[in-house]
Amino acid sequence: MSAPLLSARGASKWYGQVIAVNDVTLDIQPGITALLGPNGAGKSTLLGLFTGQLRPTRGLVEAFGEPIWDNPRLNERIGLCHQYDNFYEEMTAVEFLRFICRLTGFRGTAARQRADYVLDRVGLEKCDRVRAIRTYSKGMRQRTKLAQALVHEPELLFLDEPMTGLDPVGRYEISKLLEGLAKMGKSIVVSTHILHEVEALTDQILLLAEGRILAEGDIHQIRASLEQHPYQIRVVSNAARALAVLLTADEHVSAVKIQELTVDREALTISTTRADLVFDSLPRHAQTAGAYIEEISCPDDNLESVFDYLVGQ
Amino acid sequence: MPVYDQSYRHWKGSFRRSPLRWAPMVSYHMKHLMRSKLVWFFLLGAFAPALGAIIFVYVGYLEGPEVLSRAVDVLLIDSLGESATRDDEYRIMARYGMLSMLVFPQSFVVLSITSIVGSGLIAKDIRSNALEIYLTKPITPTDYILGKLAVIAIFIFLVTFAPAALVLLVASSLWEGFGAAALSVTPALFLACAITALVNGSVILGLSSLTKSSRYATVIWFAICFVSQATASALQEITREPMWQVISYRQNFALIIAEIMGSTELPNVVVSDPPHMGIPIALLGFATLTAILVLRRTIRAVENA
Repeated sequence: MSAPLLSARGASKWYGQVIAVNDVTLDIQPGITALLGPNGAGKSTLLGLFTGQLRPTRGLVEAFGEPIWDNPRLNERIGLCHQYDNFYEEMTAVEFLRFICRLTGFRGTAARQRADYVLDRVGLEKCDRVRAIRTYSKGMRQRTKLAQALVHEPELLFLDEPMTGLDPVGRYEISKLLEGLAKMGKSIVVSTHILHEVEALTDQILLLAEGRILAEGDIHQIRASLEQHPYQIRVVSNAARALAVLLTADEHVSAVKIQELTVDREALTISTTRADLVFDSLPRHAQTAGAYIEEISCPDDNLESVFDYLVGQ
Repeated sequence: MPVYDQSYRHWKGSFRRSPLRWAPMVSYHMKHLMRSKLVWFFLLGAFAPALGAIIFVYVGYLEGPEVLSRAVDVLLIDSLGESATRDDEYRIMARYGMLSMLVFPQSFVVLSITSIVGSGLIAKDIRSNALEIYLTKPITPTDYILGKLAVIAIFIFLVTFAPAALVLLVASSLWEGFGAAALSVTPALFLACAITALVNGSVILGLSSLTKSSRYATVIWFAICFVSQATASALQEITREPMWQVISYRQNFALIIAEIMGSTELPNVVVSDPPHMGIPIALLGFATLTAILVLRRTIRAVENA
């Protein structure tokens, strides 16, 4: 395993009597990592600690092996797209990007070229770039914020709710851009509520609730470790009742629910702690029952259900 | 037909970590502020005394050196005596001219331009969350403060040093032998303007960092300037003690600038019975340090919000 890009050792952040991040110890590896949690879980505070915007009340946070707090040099290697708007509203996107370029060290023509290029990449139309930011829609503002985070070619990109306000096409484009950046070796930490888009981007997640890390790692491994929450397997068949009789005889099946879909089609929802054994036995049972299996799916082997299980605990 | 790579292109160049990395901030604010008619009004207004001085210089050039001698006699300096040389007259004229342009007519202009330029510099960043953008870029809080301070310094130099330097330049070119006097007064002039910029700039930025509204910063700024002035005047009237003038923010500047410009050679020009110079220096130094501490604290507070 490569050296972690980011690490936190016993990091806590208090606001008076309120604990926003509580004794977090973790390592984040290169690639895309999603930071998930309900409102108030401490996602933005954790991002603030990771980007050196916030000083940990206790503990240590490091990026690229160096303490991040009070280390502005590391900002050359880090890009941050805030959740909230932070522009000079009277500027156009081009002026804003050129200004940010110059702040980060680009000069003259290089600043102009780089600003135009990054605005192209985030998909801000040329005619929109020359309007004042105050006239922008939420999606255009989001693209401009993303552009300012990308403009200095950071190795590590932090995105706080980057998809907010984007239309479906915009979300798709930004997802593709992020995937492309990750493939080219950029590391990205995304904080978001939109779970299915995170699933499309990455399997690496960090689940937060009440300032603590509830789970970290690969989404499927996390799901597998939740033994107290049986898997749900959905089977659509023309002979669901016969299948249900056979399945309930299996030790590892704890419950079976039948739902009528059409006159000759029913759906079975099988609850089990051993999904692998169910998948092994299903063809055999189907053959015995003379059933035709139309569809098999795992509705809770996804991020949303893992999220619900963990946060609901 | 070639097919070009449409994927993301990495920046292959290098970044130069310049010690002037706050300069883009200055150019942005200058561009933005120069759109204001009020700023132009004060900038042009600041040149009015200089224009008067240039007319005097030109008349002196046309009429001959006697005009200058008469003006010196009339305006101020009986103490030079009969033995005063032309160089003495030039030197005193340069210092008196600069002092009278810096302290008296320019005082209100300096306070106004400081307020117009400085009151929104940080308040606006706090209001629009732009401060967070700065702090995610490779600039330090000190760079940020320097950038903002430089904006105010430029405007203060434009209303103090620039008109004074223009008069010196015109006088040097028209009056033979005035160049040496102009050169001797220039460092003092620069120092006086720099102190004005540093102290006023720090205080207005400190006030600006305490609020999201530039209006509040402006109100507090003028309150500090005029309430302290009124209090000082009232106490001086009541007690007949000139030491109370150090309560006045503006008067402290007048005292320091007069000292820098050599007011000892200019009897009755600025103040009578000036207090020990350490007092106004200590008071303005304290104001500057307090303002910078407030500024740094505000920036850190944003980082820890």
